[in-house]
Amino acid sequence: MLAWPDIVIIIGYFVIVLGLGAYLTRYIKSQEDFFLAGRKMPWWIVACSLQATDIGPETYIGVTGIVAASGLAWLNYDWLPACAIPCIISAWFFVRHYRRSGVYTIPEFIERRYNAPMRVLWSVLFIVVRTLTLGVVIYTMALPLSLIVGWPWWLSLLVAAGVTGAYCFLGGLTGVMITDVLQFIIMIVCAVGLIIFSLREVGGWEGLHSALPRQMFHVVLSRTEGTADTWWGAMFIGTLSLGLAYWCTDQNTLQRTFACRSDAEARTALVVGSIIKYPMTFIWGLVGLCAAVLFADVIAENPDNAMPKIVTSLLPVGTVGAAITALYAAGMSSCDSLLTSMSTVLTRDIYQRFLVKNKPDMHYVWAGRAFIILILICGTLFATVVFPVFGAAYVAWQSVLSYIQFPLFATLALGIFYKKATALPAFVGLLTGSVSAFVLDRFVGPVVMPYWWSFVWAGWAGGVLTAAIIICGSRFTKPYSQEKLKGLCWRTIEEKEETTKLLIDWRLWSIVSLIVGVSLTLIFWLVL
Amino acid sequence: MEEMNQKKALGISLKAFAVLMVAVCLIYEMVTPSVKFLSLWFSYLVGAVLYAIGFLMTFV
Repeated sequence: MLAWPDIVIIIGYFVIVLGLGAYLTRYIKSQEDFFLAGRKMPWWIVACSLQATDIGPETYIGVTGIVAASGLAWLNYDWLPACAIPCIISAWFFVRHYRRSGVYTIPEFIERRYNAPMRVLWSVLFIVVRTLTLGVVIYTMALPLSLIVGWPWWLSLLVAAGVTGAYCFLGGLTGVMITDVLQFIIMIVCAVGLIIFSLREVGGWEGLHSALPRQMFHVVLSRTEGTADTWWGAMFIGTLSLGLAYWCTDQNTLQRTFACRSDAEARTALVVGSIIKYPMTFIWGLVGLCAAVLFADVIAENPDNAMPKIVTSLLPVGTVGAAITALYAAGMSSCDSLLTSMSTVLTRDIYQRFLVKNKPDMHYVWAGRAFIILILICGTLFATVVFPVFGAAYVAWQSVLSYIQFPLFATLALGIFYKKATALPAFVGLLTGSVSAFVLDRFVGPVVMPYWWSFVWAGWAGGVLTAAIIICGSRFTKPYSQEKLKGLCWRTIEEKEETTKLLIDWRLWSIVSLIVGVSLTLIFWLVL
Repeated sequence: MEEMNQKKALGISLKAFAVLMVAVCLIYEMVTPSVKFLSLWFSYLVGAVLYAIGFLMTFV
């Protein structure tokens, strides 16, 4: 059980977050304010919000646990191949097209580029996938907290989901992004505190380095050193597909870049966010390594207990409350993004597009708020009823869903870079690529090449097949007019070279991000 | 103007959280005989860092 000051700090945090959400309600006067924060957000808020969203409770607990069990190689999921490179690609080649078209959602862009059925298919896939994800985020947020804080599980769940839903309802995307920054700062400060205490306990860097095998510090592993999921091929080529799908096509992420004041700031936010991610995940990885030394028995039993064990064992009263607050913050910042992005898609792509047209702007703001409540109820029901009973089935379902991500990316990427791409081949290619990825991963890959097979290769195969079908199929369909494609495809209008201040020059930040990423990889490969 | 107000709200929220943290720890030290004064120095340090960030927020 926690000491009372820690519980007071956690409750106080909820009150402050709610107050902030309530204060920001004053800025909601239109759909654009509610769904896109009035398109007035500065780059630094967007960068923090992007990374706070990406870091969920499963990252907070999962990264620490998995590094404690198998080493720093897992950081590649948050470093160069799966985060920095995709963010840079998204900033250079994708975001400008979305923003220029003035859309609120990715499905809206899809309709403009292809047609309405593609928009519906994309929206439905997004809503189904993300409702289930929301359930898992709520579940993973509530379960460890009920263990640490000692509250009943349902109370922990209701408090976290209720507070998150309340400030999303009140403040829309503005409320979400501002509270994300607050949560992000608390997360960073607590992570630094955590690493100071953990390193002190293991005898500093020297003590940590001598206590663990050298391999635990390496981010580049050969197949003999690692597993089919952690060797360098799977990490540096395989995970690229996941990163590209997430950072270039996901509404949950890209909605924030739509909220930026300018193209340059949106691009900078993506790239700077990827730079912020390096130290953040490294700190958690380091905490995981310390846990591997200090609590080897706990790790052997369940690696996910590494973070809760370190928090409750090493930190003093007060900081424990702040660290648990940071854990809640990680969950809430992911949960709020899911709520706003799904509510935006439901309102814009289904309700406003097909059901109730031509109503005043505030009508759709209230529709968006109603959808937030509806989605929250669905997610909470999923977390309380379905997941505890059908948890294993859900894990399988989740991996099935991962097969559609790269085919989705292929459809969108070809939509932008291949002017001849048309809707019918895209529709067929998306479905065929997703099903093929599933069949490959479940029935072919593990049988034909069990030593090398990882699920990341299924995503690649599905994406390549989707691309092949779109390219071949589009040759037999009538291409769209230049007028329809204007501004949506690469080089369909004259691109003016933007002159920007040095601080918001995404080209410069891209070079910095690559240098940092390559240096870290070399250090944790050749030096340590 | 709007951005200024948002930054101000963010700064105030951070400062409020920091003050809460420090105040609660201070009261805990005062009312718990087994806990010596300033033994929770690290929590005060975390509170001070959060307060400083909240203070700086308005100048970003």
